[in-house]
Amino acid sequence: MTSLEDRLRDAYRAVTDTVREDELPGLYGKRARNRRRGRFSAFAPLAAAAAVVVAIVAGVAVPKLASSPGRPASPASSRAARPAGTGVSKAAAPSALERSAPMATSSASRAAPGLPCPALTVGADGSVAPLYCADGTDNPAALAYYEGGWVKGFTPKVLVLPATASYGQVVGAVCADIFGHGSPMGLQTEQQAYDLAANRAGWRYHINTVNGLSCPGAGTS
Amino acid sequence: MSMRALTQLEIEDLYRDHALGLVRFALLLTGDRAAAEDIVQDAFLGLHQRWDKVRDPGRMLGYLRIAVVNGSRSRHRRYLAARRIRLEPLATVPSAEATVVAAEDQRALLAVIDALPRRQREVLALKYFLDLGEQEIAEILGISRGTVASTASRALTALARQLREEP
Repeated sequence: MTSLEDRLRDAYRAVTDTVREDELPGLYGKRARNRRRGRFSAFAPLAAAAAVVVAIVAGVAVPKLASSPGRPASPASSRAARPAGTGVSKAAAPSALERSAPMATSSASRAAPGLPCPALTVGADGSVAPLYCADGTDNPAALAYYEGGWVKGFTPKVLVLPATASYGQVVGAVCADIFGHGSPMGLQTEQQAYDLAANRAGWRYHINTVNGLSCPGAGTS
Repeated sequence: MSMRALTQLEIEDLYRDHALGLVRFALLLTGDRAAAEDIVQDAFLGLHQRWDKVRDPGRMLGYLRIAVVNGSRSRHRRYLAARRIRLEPLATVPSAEATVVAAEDQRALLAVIDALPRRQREVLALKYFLDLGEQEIAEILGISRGTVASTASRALTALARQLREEP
């Protein structure tokens, strides 16, 4: 008859032996990718339908905005296409009220003539445009979208980093967003989340998730 | 090599050396494999973000264990109303009679552990899975050494009592 303490150790070993080293995800959760893609694909039809509706609205609203007198040309589209972290300007962060506003509300308000940010367009892959307002600040609707509007209750880790975050901390957050369990973030959407965070914080880190980001334990994106 | 690259490599080394043990420990606290992996990854991410504030590199493992305990507690609070933690041993049981009896004994024991208060389960896992001393357990749980000893004693007493009551 073994002592209770020995039986306790044996029982713990029986439970924990179910976890084997070769099954563990990498530091940034390699195994989570399939789950993320599965979840993401469920949103694709909805995002595609939303994109059509928003694109029609934007098609009407944007030309009106562009023709407004005294309004500078929007740099949003060129910024969105620019490589990550290059030439970002330090810009004032949007107010808490703007950032916490529901996407639909802020999209509508930003679409009104005379205001700097046009309506948000949601692509079939979940990415949005424009990321920035005419004055170079983050589009509050895009921020609201990534801070919980897209997937309720989920905020990319890169968007909650402080402005003082180091390169390593930013890479860690980006990799965790892409490969973390249950994360909906894809390469393109994570790039946008990073671009928003970088613009707000003034980071000049050259992070490009689409063209290759090395995440330890998870390979290259 | 830059300081940043060194930091990254050090964290990768820590992960390689300790991830398995930490996931197993988290599994004992949560009863959920996926949650255990998440908790450990979050612990390493937290370490990554606070690396420059860590003064004693020798205490990294202790920091990670504390993070795992805290992560397990957070998860436990979130899911407390939804479901009880349930630990299960290996599903595959050889047909030898002695092994079957042992497996049944383990299941009974694990079921009783499930019903213990959270702190008692934490102390038992730290003591009998990680084989930590009372002082180390006290530091991880943020309680006194005396409380660790009394909690472990109460837990063992409860286990013994419950197992005797089993038919």
